Amino acid sequence: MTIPPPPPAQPSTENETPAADDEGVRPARKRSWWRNNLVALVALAVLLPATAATVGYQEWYQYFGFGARAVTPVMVPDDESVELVGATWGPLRGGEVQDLSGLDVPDGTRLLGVVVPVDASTEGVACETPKLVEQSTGREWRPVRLAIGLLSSSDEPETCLSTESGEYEMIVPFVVPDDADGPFWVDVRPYDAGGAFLRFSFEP
Amino acid sequence: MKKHLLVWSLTAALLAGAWLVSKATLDDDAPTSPFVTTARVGEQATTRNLAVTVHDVRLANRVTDAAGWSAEGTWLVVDLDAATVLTQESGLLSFTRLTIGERTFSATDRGSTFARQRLVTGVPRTGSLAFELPDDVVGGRATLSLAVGTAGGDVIADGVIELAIDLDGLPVEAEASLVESGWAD
Repeated sequence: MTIPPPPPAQPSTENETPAADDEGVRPARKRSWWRNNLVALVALAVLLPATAATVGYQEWYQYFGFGARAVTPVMVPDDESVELVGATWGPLRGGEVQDLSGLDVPDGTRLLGVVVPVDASTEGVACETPKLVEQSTGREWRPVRLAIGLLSSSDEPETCLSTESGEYEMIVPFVVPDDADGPFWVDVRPYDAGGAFLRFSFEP
Repeated sequence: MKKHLLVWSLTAALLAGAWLVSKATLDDDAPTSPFVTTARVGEQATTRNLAVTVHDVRLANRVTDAAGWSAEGTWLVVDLDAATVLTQESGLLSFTRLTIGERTFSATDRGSTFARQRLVTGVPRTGSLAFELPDDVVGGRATLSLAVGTAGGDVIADGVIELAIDLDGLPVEAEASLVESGWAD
């Protein structure tokens, strides 16, 4: 028994392209990776910013939400008043106090006096003591009545009188260093205003 | 053989990397630990919201204040100016602590002192802090730590001003009067 010889090799026809293909359909090109993953890429482009925004808002809300902190200024135009939580605030007056006799004010500083008229209508209104904010630096000052040698007086309240109805004026002294030359904001935050507070412009 | 060498060197490299990472990892309380600024007597030291100049540190056997209060004991008295830098909100000089070895002491609230003084932004106030020490504290090194805005607890992720004090180098006076709290000159 002998092994039969292998059949003669068939001439290959695979490389022989018919003449008709050159003019008609080109062979299909491989689709790019970007195209194959287009849906996933679009989803990623939407979901990544959405996730960042959601997490960021959640963090912001945990800290600033629920009206726990004053974040939304209600700008009060010059020489005008604004109504908030049932009371009317302003117009704000004030300037540098020139007559310092009898007051304990150190050298190198200025004493600024600010008057905030409040009309609490029939119900009283409560607020934090006003603060002075330097617009260019964000530095803040609180009233210093006791430190300049003035006892607290119901005629010159530094903060809202929650039991007082009708009109009265808050009279608020600030001691600022000479290098704080304004312009300033005076911020007043009524307790019932949630995250809102009043912001008066003040240029002594 | 080559493959074995590659695997073992990779293992060694990863182990070394893990060791470095474990060494470089900060403590668990690192995210909230305070930022320390070192102060010197006579020079101003500033943190985020506190600027302090310590003028003098004294030891005395008796302290008196401007109102006439006095007390015997071992007293460390620190004369200083202080102001807030940014805001007067949480602007009380509430963290006044002296550390000697393992023991910590808070500034006395007896008499009229600078403890819990209400500071003003950019306008220094002056006064004295007094620490009453047990009699067995006779020397060694102490650290004074100052900060604003704590509710009696530790400083969390905020600036602390620290002053190193050499107790051996301080003469013991018979009596020290506390500087009356007020505006600095």
